[in-house]
Parts: sequence; C-alpha cells; structure tokens
Amino acid sequence: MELAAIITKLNKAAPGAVLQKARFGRGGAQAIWIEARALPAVAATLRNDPDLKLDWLENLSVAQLEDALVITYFLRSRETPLCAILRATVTLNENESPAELPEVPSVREIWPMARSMERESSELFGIRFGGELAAAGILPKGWRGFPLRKSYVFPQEVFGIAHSRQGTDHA
Amino acid sequence: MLERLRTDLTYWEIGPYHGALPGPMRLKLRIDGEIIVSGELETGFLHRGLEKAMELHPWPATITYADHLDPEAAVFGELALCLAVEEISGLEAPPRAQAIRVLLSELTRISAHLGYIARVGRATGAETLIHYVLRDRERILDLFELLTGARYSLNFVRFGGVAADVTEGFIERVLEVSELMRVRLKEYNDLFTFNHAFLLRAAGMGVIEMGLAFRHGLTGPNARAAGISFDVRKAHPYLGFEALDFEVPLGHGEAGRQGDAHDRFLLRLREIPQSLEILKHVAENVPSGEYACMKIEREFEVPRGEGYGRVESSRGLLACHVVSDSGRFPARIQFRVPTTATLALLPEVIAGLPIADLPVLLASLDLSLAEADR
Repeated sequence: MELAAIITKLNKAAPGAVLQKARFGRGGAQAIWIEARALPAVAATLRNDPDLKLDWLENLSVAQLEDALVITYFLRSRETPLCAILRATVTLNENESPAELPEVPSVREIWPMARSMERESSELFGIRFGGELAAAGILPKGWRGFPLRKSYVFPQEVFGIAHSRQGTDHA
Repeated sequence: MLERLRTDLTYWEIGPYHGALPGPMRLKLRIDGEIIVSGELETGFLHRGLEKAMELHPWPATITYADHLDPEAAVFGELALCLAVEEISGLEAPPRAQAIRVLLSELTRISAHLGYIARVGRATGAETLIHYVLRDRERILDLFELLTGARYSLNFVRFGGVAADVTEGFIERVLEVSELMRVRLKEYNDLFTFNHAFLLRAAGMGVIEMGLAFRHGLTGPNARAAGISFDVRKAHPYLGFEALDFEVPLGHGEAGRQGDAHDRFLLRLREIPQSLEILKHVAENVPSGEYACMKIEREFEVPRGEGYGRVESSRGLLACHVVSDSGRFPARIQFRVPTTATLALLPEVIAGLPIADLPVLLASLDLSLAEADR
C-alpha cells in the first residue's frame, strides 16, 4: 500500500494527527510524523484497518535531537509484507521536576510488545509513557538521572565507587 | 483416613549468580509445594552502558562496543551496526566482503547453537553430549581464530567491508568443518534428540504458544518453534541471502506440543544443517576482489542522517537504529535485541511449572543477559 493511502486513512481516523511525511535513511523508506497526543488513535487505525494490519511493533527507538526527544516506532504486519515508520516528538525541559517529565501516550494496549520497550525508554530517557515512569531493570536500583539524555552528567561516585572520565580524550 | 496437607506459599529468590541461571539475573518465585505459582525477574546486573558509551567514542570504535553486545555471537551486533552506518554513508561492501560476512554469520550461528545444545545438555544432565558439542564448537572457534585472530570477540566487521582478507587455508577448513559437522549432527541426534530421558524432561514442558510469542514480539528460533515463520534473512534479505537456497524450519511439536522446550531444541538442531548448506555454497563461490570498499581511519565521519540495520542473529531479530548529526561521534545508536521479548514472556511461562523444570526451561529459552542489559 502506498504511503499516501495510509496517510489518508490516518487523516480520516484522527484529523490533524499527521504532521508530515519525511524520508528515513537512504533506502527509500518514509516516516510518518504525527502529533504525540494522537498516538493511540493513529496506532489503533494502523493495527485494526483491514488493509494495513500493522499489528507488530518491531522496535521502539528514542533519540535526543537538540531539545526534543524523537520517538520512532518501527511497525510491520504479520500477514502482509507492509512495514511503516511512525514518529513523534516531545520537548524536553532540562530543569523539570519529576511531575514535568515529558509524557507520551502509551501504545501497549494496541501493541502489547510495546510494554518492555516503553519501560526501557522510560528508564533511560525519563519519558512517562501513559503517565508512568517505569523502571525496566536495566539500570541498577537507586541510579540517578537518565543516562541517554545529552545533558546527563556522569556521577563522580557510584555506590561508593569513585568514577572519573579523566584520561579519556574521546568525548 | 486421608489427611490433607496444607502448606503456605513459599518465596524463593535465586540469583543474581547461580549455576542454573543463564547469566546474572534474579528470579523471585512464589512456590506452592514444588509448583511455581508466579515469578518476577530482576535484570540489569550486566548493564555496561554500551549505547551511551558508543555516543562518546569515534565511529570506528563503536564496532568494538557492538561486538560486546552478545559475546557469544559477537558478529551479529557488529553487522547490524555496520549495515545501518553503511545505509547512512552510502558505503557498499564489495561482494568478497559480503561473502566473508556470510561465512562469519553462519559460523557464528552454528557456534551459538552448539553452545545452546551444550547448555540444554547440562541442564538435563547429559554429560556426554556436552563434551561432544563443546569439542566440535572448538573447531569453529579455531576457524574464527584463523580468520580474525580472536576466538570470541571477533571485532572483524568494518563499515564498508571487513578488517582483512581471508587467511590462507581458511576457506578449505570451512568446508572441512562443514563436512565434519554433518557427521556430528547425526551423532547428536542418535545420542540425544529423541532419547527417552531427554523427552521426559523437555517434551511438553515450557510451552510458548504462538499467541503468547506474538504478544511479546518474540523472534528467532524460539518464535519459529512456536510456529511463527519469520526470519530476517528471508523477510529483509541482507548480504545477498536472497540468492541463497535455504529453508527456515518451524516447530511442529513432534514429541510433545508445538513450542515446547523439545521443539526449541530440535529447531536449533535443524537450523545447523541449513547454515552448513549456506556455508558450503558461499565458501565454494567466494568472489575475488577487495575485502573493503575503503580503509576506515580514526577520523572517519558519518554524514547527517539515519540508518536501520536488521540481521537474523542466533537468537532472533537484532536491529540497530543509528542517528548521525554528522561528525566523528554518533548522535544515537540503539539496539533492538531478541532477548528482551524472551525475558518479557518468562513470568508467564514459568507459572505452573515444577521447580525441577526451571533449569531446563531457562536453558531452552537461550537467554542472553548481556544483550538484554547492554
């Protein structure tokens, strides 16, 4: 199915949700950028529409570009060769209190496999998926901060063990 | 007169380091008698901050980190990263490099599957099998050493090719080992696959049904044992897999139920001959030419853009999303690893299992805590 046809369906199901389409990589793939708040409606359409049936969230990746977190959903269908890339952004406020951490609607009710992926991104980037700041168990208990944010400051000491990045000329 | 024994639920904590566990993790179990009622997992003991570390190092050094994603099958992490970077940079690995990458991939798959068979053997007390299998895996590690100088962390795939050409005698020895493995597989089968004692431990145990597998996004041999026919080499061919003739085995529940521990074991055993077939074809037809399209210097820069590399690792779909904002350092490298899904469904599979089956179940799931924790 052509990307234009998918976007038409999304515009019908969630008017104003689609912001733009943009090239992804050099392989000819296109990504659909949407409003983060419209994620559940868009996700439900992508999964339930009989022509799309994008029922498999293959990957959820988060990247920080300047002061925004870009969330990318790599989708595919079990029944057809159709694949799609869905993207949304949330703005970061670096001086935020825990209640002000960026929030993105969860898609785990639509794609159940999103649960572990959302938890992971939540722990490493400090995103509240569905209002919840979850721990995936990747970081040791009691870890402070969100290490995959660009503003992350390495601690001088971790659980009583001194830590220094002096002597590394890379960063 | 019969007396009913009333027992309270007991709480067991196993790990983070225990011989029955596939790596450092903590299992918190609620047990009724000898039956597991529910289980929770705690992971993260092997977190090394690989993705963050990659952002702090120049592009060529990131390969070394990708190599450590899953030490048992190092090539797949390297490969997924290199495919994504090549997509952004527009680099194209020459045909000879592609052939060497295929050889490494399939040798790694066999090596990892042999490691798996040895672990299942250990969990079921099949000492003879462990020795047979590890003896044969050494032959493959010898091949890695001959080609790359390393036996485990190969650090050999490069952006646009591989680090070096094949060494003298490598191709001939790949063919030799392939022939030997065919004979050995028959031995393993005769000795173990339908052995009565093994069937009692594995058949019908730890069933992952197709619906459960799909709900958690399970891929690789565990998903194929449950009947999900998905293999990246077929769905999104890379390295020229589309031109190679091989089959993707599926589980049928031959000795118990589809998706049980025996199916998972059998599936890996059946994937090895497919890999041997690929090895034979590629080793006999390695094209001449360069092994890399360019020499990657320390100052190598990747233009602004994004790439997404997918490979079929020995455990399933391994994907790498790379973002570059141009320059010497990556903006973001993210890995999608197959073990995350396996860990997610584990609590559902262990519920209702006798505690004695736990080591066999864990071995049959082929978990890599290294790749899950990163």
